[in-house]
Amino acid sequence: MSQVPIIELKNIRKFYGKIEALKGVDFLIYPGEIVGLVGDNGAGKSTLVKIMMGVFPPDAGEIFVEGKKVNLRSPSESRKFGFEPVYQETDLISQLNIWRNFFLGKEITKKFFIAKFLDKKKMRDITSKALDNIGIKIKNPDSDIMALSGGERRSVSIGRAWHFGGKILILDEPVTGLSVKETEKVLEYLKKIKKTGCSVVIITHNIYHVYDVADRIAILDRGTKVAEMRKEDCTPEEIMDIIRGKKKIV
Amino acid sequence: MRMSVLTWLKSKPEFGTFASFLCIFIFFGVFAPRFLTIESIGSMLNMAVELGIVVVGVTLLMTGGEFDLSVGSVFALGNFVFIYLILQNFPIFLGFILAIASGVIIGIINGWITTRFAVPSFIVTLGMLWAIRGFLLFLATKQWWTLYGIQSTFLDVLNGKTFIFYNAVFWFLVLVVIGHIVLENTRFGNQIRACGGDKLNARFMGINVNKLKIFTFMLTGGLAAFAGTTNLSRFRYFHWYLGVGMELEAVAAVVLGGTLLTGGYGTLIGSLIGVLLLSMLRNGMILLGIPGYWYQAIIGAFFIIAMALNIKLRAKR
Amino acid sequence: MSLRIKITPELGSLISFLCIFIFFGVFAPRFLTIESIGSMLNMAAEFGIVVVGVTLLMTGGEFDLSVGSVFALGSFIFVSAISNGVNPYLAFVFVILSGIMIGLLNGLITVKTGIPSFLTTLGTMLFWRGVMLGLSGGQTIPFQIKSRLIENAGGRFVDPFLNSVWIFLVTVLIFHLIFEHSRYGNWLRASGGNKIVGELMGLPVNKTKIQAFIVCSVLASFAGFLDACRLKTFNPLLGQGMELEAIAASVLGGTSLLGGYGTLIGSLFGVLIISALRVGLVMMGMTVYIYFSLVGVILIAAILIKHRFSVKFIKGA
Repeated sequence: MSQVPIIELKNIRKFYGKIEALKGVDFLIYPGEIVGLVGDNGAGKSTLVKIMMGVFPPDAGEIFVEGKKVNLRSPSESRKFGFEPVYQETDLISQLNIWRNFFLGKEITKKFFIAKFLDKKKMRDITSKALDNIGIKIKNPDSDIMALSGGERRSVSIGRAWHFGGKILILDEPVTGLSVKETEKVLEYLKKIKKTGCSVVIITHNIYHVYDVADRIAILDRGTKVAEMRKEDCTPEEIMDIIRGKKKIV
Repeated sequence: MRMSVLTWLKSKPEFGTFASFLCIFIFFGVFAPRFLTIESIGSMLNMAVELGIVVVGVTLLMTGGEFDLSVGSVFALGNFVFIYLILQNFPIFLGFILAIASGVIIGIINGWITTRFAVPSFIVTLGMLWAIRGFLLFLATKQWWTLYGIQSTFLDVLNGKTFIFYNAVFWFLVLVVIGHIVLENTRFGNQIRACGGDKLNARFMGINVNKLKIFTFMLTGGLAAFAGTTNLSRFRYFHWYLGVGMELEAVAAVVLGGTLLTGGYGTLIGSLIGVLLLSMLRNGMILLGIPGYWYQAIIGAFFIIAMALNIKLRAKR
Repeated sequence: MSLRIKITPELGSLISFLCIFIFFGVFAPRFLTIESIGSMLNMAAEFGIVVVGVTLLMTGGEFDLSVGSVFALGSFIFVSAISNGVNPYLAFVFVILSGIMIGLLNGLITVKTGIPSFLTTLGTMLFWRGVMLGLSGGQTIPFQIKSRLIENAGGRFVDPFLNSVWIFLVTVLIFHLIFEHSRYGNWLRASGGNKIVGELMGLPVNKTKIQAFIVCSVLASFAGFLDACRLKTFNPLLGQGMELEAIAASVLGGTSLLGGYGTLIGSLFGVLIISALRVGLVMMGMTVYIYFSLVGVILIAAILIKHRFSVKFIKGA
């Protein structure tokens, strides 16, 4: 690929005390692709992602964003580059309605005399439109977040991350605990998001959750990247074997 | 060897409270004249008992993840029912039983409403606090209630003075020991903790959460009323103002001891130390000659420092 | 098209208020006079201003049990300052500054140490009450100083309504706007609803909470100032038990005990329910004592009704 990757991590190492969680991992993401980051528990997936998110710095290694070397010192810094996390635990607040959740922390206000008031109409409209763009139909942005199904709720947070300028959405186990039908829906939204040029990283321990949508799959095992392949080049069964350690790929 | 004892002590959640108890004890021992006399220790214990008996129930309840703000009112109710029945020439023992029963009934009502409708016990018992207090105000402010001139061995046994201790000190300590054994060494105690920790999981484990909770409410109500009866047999008069503010004092003593406000963990030995700590502070300040108006300020400041310490120690473990 | 009215908690409290209002209107002679409505509002005003702050804080998921003490302290600072020759306007500034300081302290302790605010403010409740008692020596302090400020703050422009009634209503309105139509309101709800998610979304959760603590304390001390101006005296017993009453009024109005949802219009009616009961019962010739019981019963009833509605809503969804 001739494109410049949005983010490139080179030879990343990370220690937790004496334990080496990442033993020199390379990882990169191009615009408009869906990458599956697969591995068993403790493989180092979430450590790698947390470094991307600026939660903590790597102990060694370099990070390039669009070709330029950077230090990601805090989550807000990483967010400025457009890396948006969508957390595994639902990141919506059940007491707030849909549009309040959608705009939480990024509320639109209008000035009225000296005070700034929320521009509710605008926020409602944008919420409906943004969700509509990736195929989520909601009747009323004023309705309770708890009135949505589990998959819809996850989609709202995905839609939100995408809407607010996410270049890379980082999803941690996005379909765990969802029914088959809901899973399909969520993956469908991700495909639409990809078409807008946004990239998606899906972290999961279950290859079947990402195989359908992923363009590329990277496999971590005990802190090293044991394999990376385009989807066309492998079957889910092969990947499972790699994860289980039955098959080595050079 | 000595180190290992210290590590063992440190591993206990009551350690923070115990350490502050010792520090303050030593402080008063050095600076307050006559603090280290048997009379002073006696009055410290005597001051602690009524609150202490209430606290035994509240500890169990809070371990189970519920609140009871009505204990102060139930305490007064226990006093009132007991004195009322005695003055109506009921057999004193029967009066005693009925007084405790009144507390048990209030506990059942609190527990039933809370569990049946799944509403916060904080609000239910807050409502109960006022409901009972208003009832007492309504009934009991028209006359002067006193047991003056009534002799009774039962009352003497219940809370007469033996040596320098009121007998209730003995009941209090027995209750703490029983409560401690129940909480630490029985299935019931384990189940209470499970309910306070994670209700849903507890239900999956086959615990009848509602029944268990109603039972702890019942226990709390019964013990608060029992504390009321001991109070009456000690002071032999009733005033509607008895036990006002006791609910928050009880919560303070319980959390000082290391029980979690959110439930799931509780310790009766800690609560014992918490109660003694509060009464020791009071007693020591009297002996130091600090004007009484300042007590609350000192207790409040101490309380916050002790809580911060508790949290620090818990985080270290 | 069908007209559907969603039963919001505000509406629930409005309906209960109207029921009580109509009940007394029918059964209590002279309840529907301007004087009686005036005394109802006058009684509500100072307490109501405190409740506004408590509602705000509870929405942010925190408690303030120190409001009663801060209320009294506000009155004490104002009265003792002007009695010592301080200009009343300057004294008023002292009151507000003390409120800011106390709220900041409550907030900082809660946020920095991780002590639950229920316990932090239980400690500061005792602390400030003790400081106030210690400094005043437990004495009431009457004063006769004349000043525009005092006359305006404690007087009435429109008979029979105290000026504090208008202040109360304006406070409710301002904070209602902040709640519903500002970023801060959104953040406060989010902080109370789910702190962790709030932080993930980049909200300054701790700052938001500390600001709410400050607002709460400032409003409480301001209400204390109004009380001093009205009664032209300071009484050390002022505001005792107010902390739980304020929580009750908020909950009656529909504010969630667990944080994340609050309504000031609801709180307004919560406060009015309580004072309508008080005035109405007196006008019916009942002893005022029964009022406590009724508030307790109504509180329990309200939480049960609210629960029924919310369960239906979830089931229907």
